[in-house]
Amino acid sequence: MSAAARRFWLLSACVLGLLALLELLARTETDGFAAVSQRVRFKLALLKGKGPVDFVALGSSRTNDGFAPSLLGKGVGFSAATPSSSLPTLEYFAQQIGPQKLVLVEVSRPQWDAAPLDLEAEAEADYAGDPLGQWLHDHSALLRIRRALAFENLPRAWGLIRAHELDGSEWFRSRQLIETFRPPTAPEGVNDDAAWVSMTPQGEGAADQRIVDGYARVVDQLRKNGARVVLIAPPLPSGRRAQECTGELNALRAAIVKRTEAQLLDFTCAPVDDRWFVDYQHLSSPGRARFTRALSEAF
Amino acid sequence: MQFTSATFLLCVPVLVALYWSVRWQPARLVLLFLSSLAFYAWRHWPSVFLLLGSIGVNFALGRVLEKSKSRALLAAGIALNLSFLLFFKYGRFLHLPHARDDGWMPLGISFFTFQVIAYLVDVYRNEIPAERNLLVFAVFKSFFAQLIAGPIVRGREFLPQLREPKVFDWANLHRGAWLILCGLFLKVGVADVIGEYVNYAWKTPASLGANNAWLVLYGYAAQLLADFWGYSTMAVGLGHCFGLTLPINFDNPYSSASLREFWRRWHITLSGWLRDYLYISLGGNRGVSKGRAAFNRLATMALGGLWHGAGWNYLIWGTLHGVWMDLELVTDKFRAKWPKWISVLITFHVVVALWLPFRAPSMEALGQFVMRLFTGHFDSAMPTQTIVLTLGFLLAQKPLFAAVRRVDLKPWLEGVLAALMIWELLAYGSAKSDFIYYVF
Repeated sequence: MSAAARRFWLLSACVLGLLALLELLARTETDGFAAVSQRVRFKLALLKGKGPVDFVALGSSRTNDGFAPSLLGKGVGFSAATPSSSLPTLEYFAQQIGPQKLVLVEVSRPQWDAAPLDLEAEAEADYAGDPLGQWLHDHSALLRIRRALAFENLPRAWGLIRAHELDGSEWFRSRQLIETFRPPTAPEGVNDDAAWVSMTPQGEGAADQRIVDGYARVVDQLRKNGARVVLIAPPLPSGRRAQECTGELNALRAAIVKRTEAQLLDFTCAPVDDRWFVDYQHLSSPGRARFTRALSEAF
Repeated sequence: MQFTSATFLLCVPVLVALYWSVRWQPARLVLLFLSSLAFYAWRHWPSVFLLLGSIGVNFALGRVLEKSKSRALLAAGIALNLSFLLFFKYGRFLHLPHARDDGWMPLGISFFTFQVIAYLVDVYRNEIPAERNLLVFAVFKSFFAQLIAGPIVRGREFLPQLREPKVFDWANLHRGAWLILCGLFLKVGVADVIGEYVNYAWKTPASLGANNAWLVLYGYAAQLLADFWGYSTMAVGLGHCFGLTLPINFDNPYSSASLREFWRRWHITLSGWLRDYLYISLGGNRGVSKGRAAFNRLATMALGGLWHGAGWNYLIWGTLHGVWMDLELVTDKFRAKWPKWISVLITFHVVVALWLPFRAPSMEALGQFVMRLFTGHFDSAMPTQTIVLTLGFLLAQKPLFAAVRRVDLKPWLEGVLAALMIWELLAYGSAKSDFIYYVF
């Protein structure tokens, strides 16, 4: 065989061999790769890897950023909140997390989104005119978990290995880069302790039944598994608060409470200082500690 | 069929195996011609009739032109070819009757029109003989590797290759496979990934933060180069697999020290076409006044801009390139004293800035985007992936071009690079989107 032929076969073997090896790995280690490739699956795998806990928090990035399980004082906790979580995500978690003692469920606008939960973590693809591409998309395990190979996702594999040490809140922080440049202490000169109080939502208007029904299904499912359910609504900076603390949305939260008969710790209208936030809706690290303390007191 | 589709990538090895298993050159050409028609028809089969008609008419025109050397016939041939381009591509822009409202046009019409005009002119100028074999001419005109988006292949360099029986060469096949992999990586792993954010941002430029607007500005420069360079690299690689050499289209263009140099490195086959068949036809810069030469450059660049699409933005883009080139000529002596890196930096930023009208979907969007660049707020939500890829791609131009081009890479290094490209394609590769130059 000539040197050129050897090089051609070496290149082909390298490309096809790597693809075949990864496909094989994806088929044999499907759960692990799937957990690394997708946030919801990752948090679930992390929770399972951690073992029994005393409470679990479900919600969007607002709870993920704003709630520290270790500071609640209710035993060993875990935050399964994930950015871009929607009602279908909540329902999926409710079905998958198994028997729990206490589950905190976020009630907030990001969470009301009806966006379907895409566990394959694959961007929408158009295979018109590409029958083989469509076939591969339908049959390849590697293509389903390919995002697991992304460099930023690889640390998740390490996270799964030491899941027992983690509480879930270490992942997917919204403004991690900005936070690293900010002092971890409470903002200077803020004295808004009186504002950190849960309020009972009151308002008038027709509640969106899709949302109310969605929460009812989530709470029912969790209770079936023996969990006590507490609804939580994290606080907001003033600009966003003006949009969310309205009669219509307060009525919606009230309707959810009425329908689920669950306790709601509602900080939506709490006039807390804007300096506790890192952006237009997410609490900073000090804000997270402050909100968790407020939740603990409200319990 | 898309070069990046799995179906196409599976068809290629089958075709290559069939092609080399047949020893009779005409049979190989029949295979190339039929597969080219099939790939072309895959998206829109009626377009094939336009292509077939163009092949037949231009083949006959070439033969007659060779004998008659009639300038009127050449003009009629060029006008006939341009009429289809005008109708399909510029019909709406020029308000021609019966122009399509949806902007649809046969794929690759701009490329194969220019290719065949060059052929007719070359025959008329006695630079090449008219092709006598219809099959050879048909493959010259329709070879799938270059049909949709170039490189714009000249008759003098490609027709002889098609006439000669080819001998299988492993080195060529290896080179072809390497280039196809590199092109796929550039397109799907770089251009499309950056393009996801850039395209999204251009939908609502008024809502962009200043930092993200600057990212989109540089991101598009990276996306466009990776997209078209990726396509062209795949095209050259496909040619190698069939023992055919297609011209390269890109040569590290963002390292140019002037716009004139940029156009010798960017879309090289189009620049060459514009120079040989438009600029020189207008009088070029030899034996004419400086003013006339400047006008010739301006007109060539403006028409080159219009070639990219029927829109004022393309005309403005091309004209501004022409204006800057004229300015460069005036300041040549002054600029010669600067260190080269300053000229490279200035040229790069001029090119990047001029991509703005090229990319903007409308003048209104362009205005909004420019406003955001200078008066936008700071948006703390930044797409990390786009930042890393854009910076990495733009800063690593020299090694990237070297890695794609070099034929003497160590086998182990080639293997490592191939594995890294496959890894990146799997982890980040975008699952959709066309080549940008398909619409030109």
